[in-house]
Amino acid sequence: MTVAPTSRARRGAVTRAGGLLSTGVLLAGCAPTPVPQAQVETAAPRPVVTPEQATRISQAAVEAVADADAAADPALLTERVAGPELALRSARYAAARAGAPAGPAYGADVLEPLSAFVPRQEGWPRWLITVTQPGPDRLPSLALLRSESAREPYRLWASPSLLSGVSLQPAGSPAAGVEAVDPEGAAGLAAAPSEVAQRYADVLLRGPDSLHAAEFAEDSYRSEVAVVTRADAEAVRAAGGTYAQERALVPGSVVAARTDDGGALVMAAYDWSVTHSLPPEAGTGRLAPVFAALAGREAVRGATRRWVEVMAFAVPPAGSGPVRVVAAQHGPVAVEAT
Amino acid sequence: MHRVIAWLLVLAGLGGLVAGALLATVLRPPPTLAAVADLGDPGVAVVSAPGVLELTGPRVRVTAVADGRDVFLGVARESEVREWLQDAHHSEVTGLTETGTGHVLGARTVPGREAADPRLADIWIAQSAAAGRATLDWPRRPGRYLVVAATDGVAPAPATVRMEWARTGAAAEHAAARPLATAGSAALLLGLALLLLRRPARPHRPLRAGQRRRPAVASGRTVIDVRDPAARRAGSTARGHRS
Repeated sequence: MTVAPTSRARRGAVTRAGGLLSTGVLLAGCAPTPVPQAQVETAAPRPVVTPEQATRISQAAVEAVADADAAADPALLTERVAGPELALRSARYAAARAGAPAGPAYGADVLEPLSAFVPRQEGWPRWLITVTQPGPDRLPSLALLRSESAREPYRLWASPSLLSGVSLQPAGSPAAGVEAVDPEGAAGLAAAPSEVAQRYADVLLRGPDSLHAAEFAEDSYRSEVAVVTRADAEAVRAAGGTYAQERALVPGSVVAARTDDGGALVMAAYDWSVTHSLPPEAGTGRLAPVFAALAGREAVRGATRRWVEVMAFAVPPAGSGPVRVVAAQHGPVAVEAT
Repeated sequence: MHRVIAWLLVLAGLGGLVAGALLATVLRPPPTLAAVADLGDPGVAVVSAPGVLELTGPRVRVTAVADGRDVFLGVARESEVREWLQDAHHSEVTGLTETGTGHVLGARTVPGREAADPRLADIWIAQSAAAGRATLDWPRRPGRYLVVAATDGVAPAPATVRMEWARTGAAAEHAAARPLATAGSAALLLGLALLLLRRPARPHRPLRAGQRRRPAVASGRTVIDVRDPAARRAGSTARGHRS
């Protein structure tokens, strides 16, 4: 025999089911408050800036340089320009104010970037290199921008122009970044970046007599410096005077980025000084207008002229030929007359 | 009992469907989740804790207000924000705190010193600056990113910071809407199936001699009261059955 549930019992069951359902809906209606869940960060170094940041940084430098150039005011440079670029442009402004014609700058006049070498790097200081649009010299430049800390902006540090006829080895895309090469480590290169820079300084000073002359391919900048200094030295010595030059690598100036061929693009800066003095019987010499502007007078018995130079090298992998100079920037920054 | 269960399933299924539909429509979460931090002592910068920008949804809008001063908002990788902050006096937005009527941004104060002008730094992947009030939209991306609200890194940071997360996809739906609708549909179908697929009642055969119909008290259905021994001998299974 089967006992069927009474209608009362049935109503009770339905009520209980309805209650459970209502409770469920009410509970479900109370959505939980989301809790922050930090994402896992990859341990591998990433490009120091995104392509968009690189463009913004270049644009800030472009605007600062344009404003400063228009006013010939070095104070307008300091927020976005530093190092050799600041010294060179400040000297050019000083010479221009004194009425001296500006000589060839061997630097960027146009900073709009075409592409960039963005190293994968953590910590500071940081740097990046942009390849700029060709300027009035019809040559692109390598604009080196450096940031000393997270609180400081990237400042245009140097902008050597590519030498005529050279080509740059390709490197990783700006989005993927390039490997930053330790300036002191050879890492499969013909020589460590700092060593390359030191050796080229010797080549500039001694010319073909340098022990390292054969390690570097011929370049137009070296030839030009050799011609100018030889003529300068001969003129001073012909007057019975003395002539001496020094070239020192600027500490901390070497940066290097790995290129796709296994070599590296290396940039380095030098302080170059030339001191000459004339004997008393030779009277006084006359400084060229730009040096006279920096010295504050034209007639001198002697002087120490100071330049800054920034060079860019294509350093090949070990055993793959000579180092090539691909870009150069130089200019006078100070003159001490005697 | 069979029918009771079936009807319970039908009712529960309908309830689930209605509840799921309500949660997916009328009771659907608002398209954004917004919360504000009103900070008494913001320090020189207000910084989000890791994960706050990615709290929910594909993007967040951050608004900072500092009356009478230039306001800066910037988003950068966490490691770079920490480098920028150093030992600066700042507030860290730690997440949402539920109130009876909504949410507020919880924050903690970290004592320290002045920072630097954030507008000079180049660490920002996205940034916005304006007088008095700045707004920045940040689309979610992989990695650990923090937002910084500040003025000049020396003066007090914006005391009011609002974050509004857009909700799309799963975040825009009520978590229980789909399960309720699915479970409701299943229960409804099962209940209907139980009701419709139950064994049909046998057609009534002509009563033999001695047989009579009587109402079944319990079920309210007709039962056959077998009294004819002849019918039993003939193997008739005219036993009572409940439909």
